[in-house]
Amino acid sequence: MKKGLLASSIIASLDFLRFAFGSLLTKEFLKLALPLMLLWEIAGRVGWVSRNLIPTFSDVVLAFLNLLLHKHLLIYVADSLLTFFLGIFLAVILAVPLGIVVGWNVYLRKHILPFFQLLAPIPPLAWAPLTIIFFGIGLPMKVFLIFLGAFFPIFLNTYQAVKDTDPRYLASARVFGASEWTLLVHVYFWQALGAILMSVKTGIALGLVMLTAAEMYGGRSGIGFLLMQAKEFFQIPVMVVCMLLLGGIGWFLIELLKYLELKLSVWKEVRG
Amino acid sequence: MIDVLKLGKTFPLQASQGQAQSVTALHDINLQIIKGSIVSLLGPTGCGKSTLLEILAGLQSPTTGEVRLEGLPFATPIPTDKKLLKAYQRQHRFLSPQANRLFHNRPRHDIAMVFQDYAVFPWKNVLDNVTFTLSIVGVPKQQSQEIALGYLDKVGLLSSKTKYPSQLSGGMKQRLAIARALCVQPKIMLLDEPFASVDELTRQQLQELLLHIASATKVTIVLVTHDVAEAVYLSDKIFLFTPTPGTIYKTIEVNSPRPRRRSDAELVALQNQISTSFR
Ligand SMILES: Nc1ncnc2c1ncn2[C@@H]1O[C@H](COP(=O)(O)OP(=O)(O)OP(=O)(O)O)[C@@H](O)[C@H]1O
Ligand SMILES: [Mg+2]
Repeated sequence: MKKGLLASSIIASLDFLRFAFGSLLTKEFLKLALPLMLLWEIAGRVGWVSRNLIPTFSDVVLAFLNLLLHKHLLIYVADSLLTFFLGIFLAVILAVPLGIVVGWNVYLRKHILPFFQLLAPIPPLAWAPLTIIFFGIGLPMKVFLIFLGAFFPIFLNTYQAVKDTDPRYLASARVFGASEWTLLVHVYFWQALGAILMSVKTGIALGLVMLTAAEMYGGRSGIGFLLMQAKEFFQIPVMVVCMLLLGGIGWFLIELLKYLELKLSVWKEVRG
Repeated sequence: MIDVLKLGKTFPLQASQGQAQSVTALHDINLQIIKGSIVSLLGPTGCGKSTLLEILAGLQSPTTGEVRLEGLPFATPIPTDKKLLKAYQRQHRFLSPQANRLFHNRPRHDIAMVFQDYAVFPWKNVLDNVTFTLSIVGVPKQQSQEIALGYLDKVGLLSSKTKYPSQLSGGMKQRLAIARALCVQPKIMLLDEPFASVDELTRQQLQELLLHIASATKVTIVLVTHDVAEAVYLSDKIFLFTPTPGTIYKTIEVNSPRPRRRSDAELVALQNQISTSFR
């Protein structure tokens, strides 16, 4: 049993990696990407562009290796990842149930929704000063800012999707006597699942913006802090490494969600 | 026995130019359906047949009149009296009148419905669609599997039990909807144009299946259709509807004995009689 679980999770991970990297490692893309990278390297070395301002590809790789081996890069990355996951996790765990409840029940919707509709348009970054005063500088403040960035898109999209549930499905369960709870678990949720996953992707993108901002302006840890520090010392290759790392995290998570979407929507497959 | 007394249904419509408008879908419907019989509601599109069926299923409230099941009030209209209406609205401010209880399913073994466009759950496969219905009416998990397979066999879907509705043809979806309604062993089956979107051969197969079920289980069947031949072949009684607002203008008893033959002269004559009366 245990062995089966391990084996199947390994198979699933491999399947995911093939899915995620599949679009990067195609002949078509590489045909374009490899020459461009070569051009990037040559342009700096030959002196078409200033190597001080635009580091070459090899400069970036060297900076990355240097950070990895001598500057505890992994600790910074782990720190960012932990913060980010906490924020997104909180947002999903609160926004999805709340969105479902508000979409399901008119009475609750009338009471609760206007409150969130007033708060939602505030740009999440505008919360930063107040948050720093409230939580000080540290993990809670960063988690809260990421949470804020991801919460509203997930909440509002979930609510909308649940509200738009096809009444025929509700009727066809109610006629047999299904309770509202049964409808929530077996009908509303599934009908909204596609929209929920979509909104989590939006939430991740916004959360990443908030992570970067939070680490740049408040804190002594994470990739954002490294980025800020590199700016102080004018270490452009380090800055590029940080940018690519942040992008990489976002790319990876969004690929993960796309994969999840694919696996969870077998039932949407057109027949063939 | 189902009694429908002076039933009316009016839908409020959002005003387009400031004036409040409404559509009367059903007006002064009186009918009686005897236990174990097959009746058809026959009428042109838009005459309120689906609306009547949903009222019979308890999925909509009538505006006027009432429905009685075995003499007991089943569907009563929304009160018009201001005071009573307030109380009614207060009672249903949290859950709509159509909702069952909040947490516990309230099994309704008496009524099952097959919807006009199937409304099977696309995110559940064929087997799960049936076992889900069984779980609502409180059948334990171990048994529900077995029962579900039995009914899938009956409608000829056993080999497609792991498919999802998107992989099924229209006729297969229809069979699934029928299996789902049958599995709870209802006393009354409401069928809304169940055979409208399948080919002639499949339609005849499904009709035979329905007749077989009816004779085997003594279930009362209310069938909505706009196919005259189908109504004549299947029913003991046919209610003819006029469009907007839907009213019953004629009730026809079909007395020829079963099993019937489709080409039976008596049936064909009746068919022609109904068709001409529509014109
Ligand atoms: N929820 C609703 N709101 C407003 N009007 C409605 C609503 N449901 C039905 N109607 C109207 O009531 C009338 C009857 O509708 P219904 O669906 O019962 O017709 P039907 O006889 O089943 O037609 P068909 O044969 O096409 O299925 C139509 O004019 C329709 O526009
Ligand atoms: Mg209809």
